Amino acid sequence: MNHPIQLLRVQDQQVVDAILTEVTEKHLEDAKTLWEPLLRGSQQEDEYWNWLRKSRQSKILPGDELYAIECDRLTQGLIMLDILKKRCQIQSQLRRRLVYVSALATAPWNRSAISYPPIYKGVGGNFINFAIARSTELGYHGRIGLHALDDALGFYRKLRIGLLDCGPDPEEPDNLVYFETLRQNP
Amino acid sequence: MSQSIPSQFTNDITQHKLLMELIEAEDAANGEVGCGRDLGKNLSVYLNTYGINISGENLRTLLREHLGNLLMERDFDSITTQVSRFIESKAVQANILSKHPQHLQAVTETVVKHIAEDELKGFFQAELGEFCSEAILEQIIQFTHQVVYKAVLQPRHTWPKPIWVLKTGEKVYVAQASSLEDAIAKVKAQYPQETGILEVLTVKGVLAPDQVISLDRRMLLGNIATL
Repeated sequence: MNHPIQLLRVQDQQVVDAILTEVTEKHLEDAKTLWEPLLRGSQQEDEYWNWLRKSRQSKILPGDELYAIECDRLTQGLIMLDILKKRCQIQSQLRRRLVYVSALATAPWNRSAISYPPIYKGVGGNFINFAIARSTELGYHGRIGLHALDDALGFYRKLRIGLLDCGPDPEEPDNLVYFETLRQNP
Repeated sequence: MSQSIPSQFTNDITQHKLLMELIEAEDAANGEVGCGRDLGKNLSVYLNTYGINISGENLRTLLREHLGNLLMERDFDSITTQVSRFIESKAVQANILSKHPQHLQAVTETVVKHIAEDELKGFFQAELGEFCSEAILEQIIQFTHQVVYKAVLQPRHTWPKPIWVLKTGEKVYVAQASSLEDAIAKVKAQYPQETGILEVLTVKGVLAPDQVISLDRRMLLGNIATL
């Protein structure tokens, strides 16, 4: 699967073509060899994430899927979806199926806190759009859910896709804020 | 003679507009877009022990049998999730503790036991007996009693209606309603002069019955999602 997408190259403000694809060894290798050294000591919330382990986990646990965004022959972002094990929490769609975004990260060089100016913009948004498309494809009517990291709250609140801020989740060990897309019942 | 705009051109414009909207959202968080929890250093231990957990469906069956008249599937979701996570944490903890022995913290809270002790013990022994020590099994049993007790005290169907915080222009409205449509209808009925498009700042009471509402000043200034 190679899904064409577009990113904004910040340096010259050009829209460039990229692909969103199923994760390969090369993407995981990029995360290990290129991302991890930049994240080390950065105090970023995903500093200790290990995408290789997440990939192993996705092979063991049913319903887990991993995708990457590739541009300029480098891995620009990674996402892990759970298409099976989670259900909606909002009353009007309670227990309906959704696509849960288990993990999402953009490459360190795309974050202003690490690399200013960042290289590409649009990775996170394209991933969220893809999660919604995957949900629609599965017959879940575009419903997605996720627990946002603290620094990314502004991003999820600003996305114009009907993501509702449901507040800190008391069942979540880190009390992360839960977001869910609200859809009219079919 | 009219001239139509090539569809590829309009598609390009739409796609570009969409990309710019996504980027605007990313900029609101300074490029931070991360989500998801991570077991961090404990993940490898978790993966080694992930098989040590109960069958969610078996626990659900037990819960239905004993609490089917009090609780609903949505409560069983919550109980099963909490018990599974507790077992998961105990499996990781036990693995670490076997290398660095410490005393396990005992659960001391007294609760009403809605499922007989023997039955719960039999269930967990059958599911986890070969992996877990008696001490850990006892903690899992006590934790399950606690979670069930709390669920029975306040079943999901008895929770108050969620509280919706809506914004339009300079006004912020707080309405208690079962759905967004109902919340908007209440605002419009009680404030008929309000003609603006209402945007949702947040909804509370969806994940727990007693959630405190916290509003970021930036949310009030306009960085919000439109539904």
